[in-house]
Order: sequence, then C-alpha cells, then structure tokens
Amino acid sequence: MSTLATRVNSQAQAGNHGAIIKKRSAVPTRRPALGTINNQKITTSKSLLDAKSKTQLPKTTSNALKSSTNLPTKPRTVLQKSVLTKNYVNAIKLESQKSNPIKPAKLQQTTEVPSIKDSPMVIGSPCKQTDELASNIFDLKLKPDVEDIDENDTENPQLCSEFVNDIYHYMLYLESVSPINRNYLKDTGLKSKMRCILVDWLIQVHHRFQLLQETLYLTIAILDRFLQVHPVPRAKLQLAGVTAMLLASKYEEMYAPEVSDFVYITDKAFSQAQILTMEILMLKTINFSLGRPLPLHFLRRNSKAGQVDAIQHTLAKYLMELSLVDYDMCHISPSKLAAGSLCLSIKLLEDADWSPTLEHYSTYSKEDLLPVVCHLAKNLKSAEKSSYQQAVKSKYSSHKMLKIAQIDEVKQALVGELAEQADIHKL
Amino acid sequence: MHKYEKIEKIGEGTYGTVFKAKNRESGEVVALKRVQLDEDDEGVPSSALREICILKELKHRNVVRLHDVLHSERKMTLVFEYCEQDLKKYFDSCGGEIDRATVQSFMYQLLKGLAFCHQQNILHRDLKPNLLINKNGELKLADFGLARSFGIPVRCYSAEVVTLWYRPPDVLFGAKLYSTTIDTWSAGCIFAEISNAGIPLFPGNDVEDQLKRIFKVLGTPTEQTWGVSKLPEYKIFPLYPANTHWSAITPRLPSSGHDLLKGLIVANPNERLTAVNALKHRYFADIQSIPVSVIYILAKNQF
Repeated sequence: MSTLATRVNSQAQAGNHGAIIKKRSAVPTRRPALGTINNQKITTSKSLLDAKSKTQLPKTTSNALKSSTNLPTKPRTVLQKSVLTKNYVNAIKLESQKSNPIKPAKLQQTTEVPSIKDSPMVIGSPCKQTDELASNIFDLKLKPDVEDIDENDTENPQLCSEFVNDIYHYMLYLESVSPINRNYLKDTGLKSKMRCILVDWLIQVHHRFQLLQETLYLTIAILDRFLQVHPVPRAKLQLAGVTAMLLASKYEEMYAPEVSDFVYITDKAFSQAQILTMEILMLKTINFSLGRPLPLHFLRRNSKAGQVDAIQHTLAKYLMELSLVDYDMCHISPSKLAAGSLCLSIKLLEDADWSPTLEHYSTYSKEDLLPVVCHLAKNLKSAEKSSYQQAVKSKYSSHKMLKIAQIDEVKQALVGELAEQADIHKL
Repeated sequence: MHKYEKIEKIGEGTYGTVFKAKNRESGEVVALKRVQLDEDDEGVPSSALREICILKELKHRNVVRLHDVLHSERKMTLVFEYCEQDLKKYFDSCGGEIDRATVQSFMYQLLKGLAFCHQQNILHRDLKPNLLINKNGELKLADFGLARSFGIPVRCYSAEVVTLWYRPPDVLFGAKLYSTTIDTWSAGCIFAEISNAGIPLFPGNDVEDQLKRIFKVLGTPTEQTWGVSKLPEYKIFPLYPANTHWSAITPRLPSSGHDLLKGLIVANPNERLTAVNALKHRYFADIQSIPVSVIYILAKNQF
C-alpha cells in the first residue's frame, strides 16, 4: 500500500512542485494529515472501517461509530426502479432564457483559520421579496412538441406535480447564485491533486458511513465553495473535508454521524474542538447556504423527462460521481452536469439522442452539453486505470449499482472517441 | 452582542431561549434566539442548522424573517424580525370569538406562507398556533426547527415530526413517506382552531387517543377508502362511522369554509388539498387585505 507521500512524490517528479513534497517524505517525523487518507485507501470492496477496526481501535470510538452506523431502520433513497420505457417527442430551445452567467467570486488569500470571536455576519444578499419565483429562468409554457411529463402525477403527492416546475425554477436560481469558480485552487498553494485525493477519500468515508447519496454531493459542494473563498493550509485540507461532511450530514441525514466518528476516521489527526471550530468557520464562509441544489436533484427530473430505465439512470449517476473527483469539472453547474451525464448515458446505452422533451426540462441543448459529455467520457475512460477513481468505480461495480462500471457499453470505442474530443471542446 | 440590548425573555424555542431586544444603533426591535454550543458536544444542532439555512432563503411576508446570525465561542444567536405576538396569545386576548374576516385573513396568510415554502422545496413539519402575528395583522410562519428541504420524488424522512394535535393520521401510523400535505393537515387543524377562537380540533392525549378523536369525526379508514394497513405502526381501531358534521364542529365558519376544511382534514394524504389548491378555494373568493378588525384586537392588547 502506498503512502500519500510516495504517491504524491511519484506525481511530483513529473510536475514542478516535487521539491517540497520530496522534502516531506524524506523526513518522516510526523505523518501529514492527508497521509492518513491514503494509508486507509481501500480499492476493493473491503471496508475502510473493517480494515481499521482489525488493527488498533480505542473501544469508545468504535462503539460511538457503531452506534451511529448501525442505526435502526435507516431509510435509504430508493430510486424508482421502473423509470419507464423510452418515448420521445419533439423540441424547443430555451437556453437563451437561462439565468445569468456565473460571476467569479473574489478569492480571498487567507492561509490560516482565524479565531472565532463575537463577529456579526450578515445573512444573505437581498433576495426576492415576493413569492414570485424566478420565472424568467425559463418559459413555463410548453411548446406543442414537448411532452408534459407531470400531467399524470396529480394523484401522487410524492411527485408534487403542482409545483414541481416552480421548484426546479427555484433550484436553477439557487445554483446560479452560489457558483463554484473554474480552477479556484489557482494561487492558493493547494494543488488539484490534493483535492483529488481528498475527494476520493471522502467518497470512501461516505460509503463506509452508509450515508445518503445527497450527502456526498453536498459535502463536495460545501468543500469547494469553502475553499474557493477561504483556502486552508494543506495540513488542514482533510479537516475541511470531514467538516464539510459533518455539515452535509446534519443538513441531509435523519441520523448524522457524531463528531467523534469524524475524529476517528481521520485517525485522530484532528480533535473534536478543531472540527467544531472549522464547522462555524465553514458555515460563516458559505454564508449558511446549504440549500444549493445537487446534480442528483436535476438528474431525477431529467430521468423522468427522458423516461429512462434504471440502468440508464445508474450509468448517469456513475458519470456524475466520477466527475466529483475531477477538479477540471468542479465549476460545472449541477444542472449541466446532470444533463450531460444523462445525455452520455443514453447515448452509450441506447444510441439515443437528446430529445426535445429532455432539452426543455433540462434547459440544455445537445450542443450546450457537448463539452461536458466529452469530459465525462474522458473520466469514464480514465477510470479504467486512474487510482483516484477507484472508490467510485468499485462502488459502481456492486450489485446494488447494477455493476454499471463493468458493463461492456462503458468500454466501447465511442467513449474513447468522445474522450479524445475533450481537449477540443473546452469546458 | 453589543449590537443588541436585551429587553426581556419572551419564550423557549425548539433549541434555545428567545429574547426581545433592541438594536442599539438603529433602535429596531428584534427577537434573539440563542443556541448554546458546548465544546464537548456535537456543535451546531442540526435543527438550528436547518432553520438558519432554510430561513435564510425563505423571504416572504408570511414567513418570519431571519436578519442575521451572530456567533461567539460558545453560542450562536439568531436575529429575527420581532412580532408582537403569536396566535396562541391572540386566542387568549380575542374574548372567545374571532370574526369571519379575521379567520379568513389568518388562514389565507398561513396558506400563502406555506405554499411559498413548498414551492421552494421546504416542508415545515411543525405547524401549530406558534404562528407569529405582528402589529399590522400580518401572520408569519416561524419555528423552522423541524423543517427540511425535500427532493422530488420526495423520499422517506423521519416520522417523529409535528406536534401531536396537529399530526396527520398517516404520520401517526408511522408513515415516513409523506409530502407537502403533511403541512396542510396541520393547517386544517389550525383553521378549525382559529374559527373556534382557540379550541383545538383534535386535542389527543397520546397517539392512540389522537387517532381515535380523528376517526370519530372522519370515520375509521378502511382498506377501501385508504390503504392504511401497510403503514409501519398501523393498529386496528373500532369502526367509527363518518360523522363529519363540520357545521357542528366549526359553527362560525360559512359553508364554503366547511368545504375548505373538509378538503384539508382528509385522512388519506393523497387526497388532501395542497396549499396552492387551497388558496384557490372559493372560501377565499372575497379575500381582502388584512381586515381592520385584526388590527383593532391587536391594538386593544396594547403592545
């Protein structure tokens, strides 16, 4: 098993920042915080926690962990298996009516965690004062060639057919006001590989804690939104990662893991007090906005609009999750990522086109999605060998995930062809 | 905390004490809700976290406004707009009767605020007469400690939600898969309570008594009327016949009001009215701006 230092080192030799890291690995006085991540990197189905508990585990923390992971009747999101057959109609283009382009937020060059004092924080920017939703985001009226996908849902309150469109308009508005900037690590002293390793590890932690899918996407979004405003020293990166997951769990889960679980999972690299201090700092930095929509929310809508089946939906989820690790894609909006993922999924599985109905409900045309689709194909191809994507790949090789990472369709020549175009179609 | 000067304690929230206070600079009166953070504890309670995140986005005249969040080492303080009283206190001061226009106005504002929450994918999950009323007669949803955002399709959430008297029968039977109509049941209960000037519709002692009271009015549901037996904590109840004489239960409501109530107090969550549809009900056909009578009662209480 390679340590973080050796792994980063081998990459560093190719890159231009080898000197610092080499130095670190040459003097193994204290393991860097992120080193613990890599030591526990599990690439098979073998669990992170199993591996740990076999070694040296203080009783109290292991019990604490058990108590939170073995909670009774922890409900899981079950996808509607029968997301139906294929049936497409015709189209309208709405991209022109989409929300404003993303404005880059000012990057703040701070390298240490300031102490938290009695400082006021202003909540939010002035928002819509009325109950009129951002109706300018897209046209409510359906063009004749677009199917009304909600017309048969009036009997099922779970589908909220009365205001499902309002909700999605609102989600598009919310994602537009909390963007993640392209290449935000530039000038921060943090390398994209560090984020890559951290995200890969967080995916494993998430899997071991048996948390909801929503929690994973929310964790990474919190992390990116925090780091782009408040970069932390490399040694605190893992602290930011687990704290983001703590916040996401508290927001999303019925039973969130305890803080001690996160202390334990970092091999006590950070104390409870450090996590709690970071919690407040992160909340303040992202201005308490955890309501940013997730790619998963949009994917569900798109999957309904496309009447896709469970395999197509699961492949799209696999593509979305692979992209979490991909720093080049961190700035892609959740709605666009979800649309691109489904677009590639149905292309690979059915050679199906992006239908007018899909274009309407996703708000993206096929042309809009091409760069995203090419980059997703690139990720799919690199997942064959890249060590950073193994956590996602092994998860999606399971029965529960329909062994989607193993099917022939993800290995077809088209994937390679699209992947090659990723450099032409810049994100 | 130097920014605000405490005036008096006004109550206990889901997770902390609430104070009335004044902004030293602007003189604006606010409500401060304090959340204690203990070092050896779990940090920001998830209820407070959700309340802050949710209220930060919900900006509507019928939802209490969160102005600011202050924090120090050991505590967080939520700064809310100040409302002179809540519905409970209003009941105490109304002298046993609330006129039609006021009932209609309160119910309309409640549904307006609720529809707004639902349109922004938020379930309140604890509606009761904790609704706030300001001196202009504006009613506002508050106490979002149990609220949460939902995705579509709505997935399973905790069944341990909503104060007993306002909890719908599906959730009383342990349903975890509910949707926005969880809140419209509570809204229906509050509607009846307002029209009866503060007499609760179903004041049960425990879950069983609560269900009994509901079924004595609506009739015990059967497999034919509602596939109720599949719910996690389903229990067999005596077969009470439907006895929905709303005119006896809420004598002061007009017939259109009874019809609206009948649409909200429905055991089967799939057949219950949503907030958006309830607002379109003919009961509100003649809705006006906040009636003078509301403000008159409020003024009488001299705050």
